[in-house]
Amino acid sequence: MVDKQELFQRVELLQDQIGHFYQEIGALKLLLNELLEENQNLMVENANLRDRVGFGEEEKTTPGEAKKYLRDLYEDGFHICNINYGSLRKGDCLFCLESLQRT
Amino acid sequence: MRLVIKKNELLHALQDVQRAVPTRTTKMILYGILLHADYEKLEISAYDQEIGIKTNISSLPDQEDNPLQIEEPGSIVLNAKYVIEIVRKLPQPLVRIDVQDFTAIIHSGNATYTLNGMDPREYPSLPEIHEEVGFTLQADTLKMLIEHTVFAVSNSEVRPTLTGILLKYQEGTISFSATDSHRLAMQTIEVDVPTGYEAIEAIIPGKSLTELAKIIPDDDTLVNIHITQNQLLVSFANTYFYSRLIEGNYPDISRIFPSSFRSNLQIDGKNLLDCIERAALLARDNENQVIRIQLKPSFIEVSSHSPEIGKITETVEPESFSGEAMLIACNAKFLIDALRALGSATIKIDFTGQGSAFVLYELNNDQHVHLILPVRIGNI
Repeated sequence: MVDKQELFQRVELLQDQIGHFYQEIGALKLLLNELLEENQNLMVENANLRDRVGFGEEEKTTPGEAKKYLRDLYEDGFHICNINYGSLRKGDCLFCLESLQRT
Repeated sequence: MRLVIKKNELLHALQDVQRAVPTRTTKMILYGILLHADYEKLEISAYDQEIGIKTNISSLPDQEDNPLQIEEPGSIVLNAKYVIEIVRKLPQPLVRIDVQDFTAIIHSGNATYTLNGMDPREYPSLPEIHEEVGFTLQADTLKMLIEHTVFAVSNSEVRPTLTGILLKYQEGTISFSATDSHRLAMQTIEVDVPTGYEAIEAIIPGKSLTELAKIIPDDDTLVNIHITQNQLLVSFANTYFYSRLIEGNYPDISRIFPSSFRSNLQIDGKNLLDCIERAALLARDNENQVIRIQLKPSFIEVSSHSPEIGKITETVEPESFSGEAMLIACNAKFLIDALRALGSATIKIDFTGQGSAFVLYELNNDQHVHLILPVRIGNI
C-alpha cells in the first residue's frame, strides 16, 4: 500500500509541475502570437515591396531611396523605429518620426 | 509565535504589505502574507517576485504605549484577503495572535478565529540588497516625481522597456521619464545631497511605482532609494519596498524633443483643462479621442465631434500667442493627463506643426515637461 503522506506529496509535486507547465504554455502562446503577427506583417510588407519594385527586377538602392522606402513603410502603417521595427503602428510614433527626420 | 498587538498598527501594516500580493497566481503560497516575530519586532511582508513590501512593528517594552508584546517568536503565512478582513472587523483595539504549527488563533474581545496558515519556509525570501550606496529624497518629492510621469507609461507588453519609468541620476539632478511613444512626460529635480552613485539609469516598472506612490506618506519623511543591477529598494520609516527593474535599453528620448518652434502659446492651465475636458465628452467614443484645436492670434478654438452624438465648439482666450495660426488635432486624454499634472499655473505650449510633437511646461519652469504627438488631420 502506498504511503498516504507520500501520495499527497506526489500530488502536490504534480500540482506544482502543472502550475509551471501552465505558465510555460502561456509564455509560449504569447511568443506564438508575436511570431504570427510578425509573419503576417512581413507577408504584407513583402507583397508591398514586391509591388513597388516590380517582381523580378533588380533592386538598386541609393541613400535617398532608402529614406523613401522607410517613409513609405511608415505611411503604410508600420513602425520603422529601432524599438519596434516592422510591427503594426497605431497612430504616429515619436521615435519613428525622429528616425525619419534624422535620415 | 505568541504576541499581543494593537489592531490599528497591525491593520495598517497588513494593508500596506497587501499591495505586493498578486491577484492571480499559480502558487498558492503567494496569496499569503508572511508574519515573522523575533523578540524585538514583528516583521510583516509580502513578495510576488516582482514587487516586495516589508514593514516592521517594533516592540517597545519600556514605553507606556507599547504597540506590541511578543511572548514567543515564530512565523506563519496567512491568507492576505482573509487576515485583513478579519483584523479590520475585530471588536477590540488589542489582538492576541497565537500560532501553533501552521494554525493561527486570533483573539480579540470575545471573538476567536482559528485560521489555517501555510508553511513560512515555503514563502519566497525578499531580494538581498546592500544598502551602502543610495540617495535620499523627501517622500512628497518622490511622490510628485511619480505622479507627474507614471500615467505616460505604455500599457503594451510588446515593448517592455516602455512599460517602465526611466530614472536617471546625473550631475546633481534626478529625472523621471515615461513615454508610450505617442506622448512623453518628464520631471527633473535638483538634488544637492551627496550620493554614492556617479551616474545611474534604471527602468522601474510603472506598476511598481503606482503601488509605491500609494504607500509612501504625503509629507517630508525621508525616503532612501537604492538601486542595484536588477533591483530597486525604497525604504522609509519602518517600511521597505522592493521592485524588480526592467532589463534592456531605454530608447534615447533626448532627440525627440523638437528644437525649433513655429508657434508659442501662454494660457491659464485650469481654463484650458476645463475646456479640453468639456470637449473630450464628445470625443470619448472615437478611436483616438480626437479633439481639434484651432490656434489663432486672438483666440483658441477647441472643438470635437462625434458623427452619431453631436459636436462642441468652445473658445478660450490665451494670455499670449505668437507665431503662425495652426490647426492641431490630438488625443484629448493625453492633453488632459498632461494638464492635470501641470496644475493650475500659467502654462506654456510650444507648437512645431501639425505633424510633429508639441511641448507643454509650466511658465519659467522647464523641469516639468510634457510632449504630445498630434494626430494627423487626414486620419480623423
